[in-house]
Amino acid sequence: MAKKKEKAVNVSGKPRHSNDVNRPNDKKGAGGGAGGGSRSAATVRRLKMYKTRPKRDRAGKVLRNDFQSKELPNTRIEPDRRWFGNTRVVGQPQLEMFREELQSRLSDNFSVILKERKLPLSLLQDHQKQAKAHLLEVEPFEHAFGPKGKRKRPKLTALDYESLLKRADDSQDVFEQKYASSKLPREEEEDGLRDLVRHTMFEKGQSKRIWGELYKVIDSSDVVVQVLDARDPMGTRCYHLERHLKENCKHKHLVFLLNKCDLIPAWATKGWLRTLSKDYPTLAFHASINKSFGKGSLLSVLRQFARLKNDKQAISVGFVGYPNVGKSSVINTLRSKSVCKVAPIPGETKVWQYITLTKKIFLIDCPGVVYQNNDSETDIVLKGVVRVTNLADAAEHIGEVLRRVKKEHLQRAYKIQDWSDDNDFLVQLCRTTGKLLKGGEPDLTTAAKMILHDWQRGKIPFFVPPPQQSDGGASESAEPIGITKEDGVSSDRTAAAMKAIAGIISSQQNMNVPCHKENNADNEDTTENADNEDIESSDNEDNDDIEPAERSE
Amino acid sequence: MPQGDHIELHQKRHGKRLDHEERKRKREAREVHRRSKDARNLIGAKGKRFAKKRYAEKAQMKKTLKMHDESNKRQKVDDDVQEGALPPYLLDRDQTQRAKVLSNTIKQKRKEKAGKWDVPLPKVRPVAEEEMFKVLRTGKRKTKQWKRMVTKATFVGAGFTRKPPKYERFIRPTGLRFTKAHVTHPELKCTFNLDIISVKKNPNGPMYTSLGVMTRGTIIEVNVSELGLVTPAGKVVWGKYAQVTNNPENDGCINAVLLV
Repeated sequence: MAKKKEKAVNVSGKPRHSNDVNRPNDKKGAGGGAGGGSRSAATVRRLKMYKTRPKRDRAGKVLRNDFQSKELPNTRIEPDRRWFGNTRVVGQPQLEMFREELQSRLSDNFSVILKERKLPLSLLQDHQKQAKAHLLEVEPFEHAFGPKGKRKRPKLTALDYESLLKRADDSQDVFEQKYASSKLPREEEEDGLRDLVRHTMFEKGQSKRIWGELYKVIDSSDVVVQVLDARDPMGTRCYHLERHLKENCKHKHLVFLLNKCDLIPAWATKGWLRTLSKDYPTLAFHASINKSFGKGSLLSVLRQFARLKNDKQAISVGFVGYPNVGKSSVINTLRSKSVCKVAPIPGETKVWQYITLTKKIFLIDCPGVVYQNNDSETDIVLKGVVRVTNLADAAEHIGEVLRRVKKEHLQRAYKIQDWSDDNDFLVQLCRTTGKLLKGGEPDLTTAAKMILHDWQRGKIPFFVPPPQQSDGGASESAEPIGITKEDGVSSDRTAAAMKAIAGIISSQQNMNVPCHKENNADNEDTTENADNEDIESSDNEDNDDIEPAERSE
Repeated sequence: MPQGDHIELHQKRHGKRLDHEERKRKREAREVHRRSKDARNLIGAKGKRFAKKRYAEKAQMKKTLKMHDESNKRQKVDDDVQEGALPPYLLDRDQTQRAKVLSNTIKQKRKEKAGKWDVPLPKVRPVAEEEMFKVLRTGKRKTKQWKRMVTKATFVGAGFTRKPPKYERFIRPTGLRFTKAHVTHPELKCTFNLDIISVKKNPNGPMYTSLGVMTRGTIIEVNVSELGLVTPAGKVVWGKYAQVTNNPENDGCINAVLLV
């Protein structure tokens, strides 16, 4: 399309229209002329692009539209000898050196291949072709048929019925072992009964629309932050997403964010940080606009990723995870104001949202996704996937709550000292809070919903303890891993960025994590005086953390 | 004074009309139509005389054209040779035979030379912008019409990430992205499933090349490390060009011919 003739440039400095170059680019410069810069030519062109429309005649017929012309291009390819040559060649010594370098660094969590396209990665991997059965080479045709036939009896894998049966049993056992290893950790017992048809409410986060939003977010993200609930990190982890990123999107980085770390004890947070850091870089976080934890660390990590991708103009960070783990709250914390709508119920975010953090960092909010697994209905409810108000029979999930929570927490929260079973507990709670139906009957459903609401909001303390770990493993995981070899200027900057990321993560692991007073009481009951000293110092460090965050702002 | 000279005399005394040359040229151009009309409508003796005259004119024209053609190429030697002037063992030789053979050989060489570096599909059906892009309406009221969705197969590379929505004009759907191609070696007559490295040239234009669109006739670069090719110097070849031979947006896969 030929360029149109540009109109005369506005010299007086006052903007004439909304796309004028003299119009300030941000709101700060609206008052005075000195503040704020003018718009660049690229910005003016882009704003003009937003207003493009098809040009129509009087009768409404489209005369011209951008990139919609019917003109046919010339499609001749000139003969050239360069089409028939080799485009990429690598010598044997370079290949050997490259193979040695890559083998040692491929499994490193903190090393990054910058330009994968220019490297012959496929020359390193051995092709796993399935061996074809060359039947005619083993036994030619004339050996089996015709006058020169030598074969008297067909070759079978089993000569009689018993050996055939044994081979079938062996292959069945091999298949069952293979299938059992790939099964999910929680196996269902085969009792011969089929599961009841589940309500569609328990399939929240599994619809095609939600997963379409997820793949859109992944497609637009350079860094994917998977937000986990600190109370149940393994339960709110999406293994399918991690596998997909590892196989199909090698250039994207995955970071774990352990949100709601104020609801669990400090030692549990440290344990989970050590455990999860073995797979991916992990940060602890407490999402709050005024009093947050881990905001400085997360901002530093994102800035290092922006430095890592300095060839791009900006990077995008996608926040994915289970419903109700606090993805939108994390984004509000990073922005220090409410840019995403948040609510303490699952499913508030319905479409993906694009938020500007800095000029070089964009944030993408994603609705919560759930991968199909063997979770029972109670597991789904207690993870916070389902809205409690929509449950038809909420009382049947209270037994699991009573089993998972310690007795003193329930006694403190609901002023009930003793109960025999979940039904008895619900009856006492109904009488205490006055949730009674006509005739003095206890309203078990309403009381159960109250308990589940308290569970989701964190009023009832609960957490899954981290797996036990040896001291050697802890020290190994806490240390930052080796630095990438420096190959040039960009690689040097990349090595510095990855080194900084590893440093931030290891420093946060050594940092003391704050927690609530209730958890302090809990720790006083269970831990020693040294942990108390750690808790007291953690308050001070928390205050120290807030000031660096403000300075970084 | 003779009777027929009055026109020339008038022109001599008073000059010609200002558009005389124009009218003369047009009259000569219309001569063909007048002659055709006469050939269709004249009857009787007038028709016979007209046809006879036209036949003589055409025959003369053909002779003239043939005379011009004969001067360009070698003519056959006349058979009116006196006896004894040519030896007996040269009587059955044709003097133009060698010239013809030489001419054919030269033509064949030129043809071979011209087509040596031709790709298998030197010219393909053109694709207009209207067919390549679809208008995507965005915004709350669907009035923004500046986004375009690519409707053909694309290749985006390993490090691809979509742009922010307010900067992204060309959207390449995930379902139409390909990473592998079925490449046939024309001499070995076997087909491999190779990774695509880049899109080198789309015959419909450089914009489609930069977008990574793969239509029929597109030159792509494929990873040929599986074939085990080496250069005479002993280096390993892992990149070569191939040309797409099918319509990927219809078939759902990419078939290509390796350019060797």
